[in-house]
Amino acid sequence: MLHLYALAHRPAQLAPIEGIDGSRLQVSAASSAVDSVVSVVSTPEGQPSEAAILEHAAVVEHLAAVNDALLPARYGRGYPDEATLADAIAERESQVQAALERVRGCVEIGLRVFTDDPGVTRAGESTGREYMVSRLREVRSADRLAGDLHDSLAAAAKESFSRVLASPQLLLSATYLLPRPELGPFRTALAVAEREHPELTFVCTGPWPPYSFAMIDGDRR
Amino acid sequence: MSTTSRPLEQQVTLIELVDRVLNKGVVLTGDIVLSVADVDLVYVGLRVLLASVGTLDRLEREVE
Repeated sequence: MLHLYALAHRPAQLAPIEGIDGSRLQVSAASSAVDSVVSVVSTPEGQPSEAAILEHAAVVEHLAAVNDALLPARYGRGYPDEATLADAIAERESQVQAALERVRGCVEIGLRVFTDDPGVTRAGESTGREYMVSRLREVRSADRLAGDLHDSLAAAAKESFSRVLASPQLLLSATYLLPRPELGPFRTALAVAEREHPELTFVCTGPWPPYSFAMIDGDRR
Repeated sequence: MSTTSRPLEQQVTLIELVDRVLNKGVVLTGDIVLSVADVDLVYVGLRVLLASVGTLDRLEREVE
């Protein structure tokens, strides 16, 4: 079985790292413009192990360091042979090329901002209607706060998406696609936001290879 | 950052990484993919830990 790690412009550069289970990385020509990086693995059974997930991620990380535009692949069940994989890429060639251009020279940053939820502790102090009205006000102001935070950080980003109040404590959950030179300005903007909001907990991760922006039409789910 | 928070940082990084490898990234026709729980929901449980780490840092600063 061929395990797919990433797609890149042709010619894809290989990194000095082994694939899953010590397999050897190889470039498989998908078309005149796109290459895939794969390795031969045994047919997977059940859920992938944590080790295999980490190995996949390590390969993608190394490839992202040597390929200016790289689309990380989601961990999949694999392809029976190179021809099947090449056909799958050919089917969506223009989308793949557009996605490669989109992430060129960029990294991804993940951010989650937590808030304490005062609404919960006040629930017993008022009537149901008063509670609902105050809760609505809180949600609206949280919405505004999350929007302002996101806007100040998205300024440095090429693209971004966000989710507000995915849970009562998770005020903002956002992902930013940043050209490498914008990492510094982003960190500065984040430090300002953290200083201005000592009541919030900021959890920032990355830089990651651009997994969240590698999805092509219809994949986002 | 105190050393007590390091396991949490690793935990958060691992959650973010697994979410990306299994739920994000390009998917082509013919490759069956797996997916894990919505990572935002996973964080609901982590919130307790994050809150305790925040408190710990504040306490440490007060002691200093």
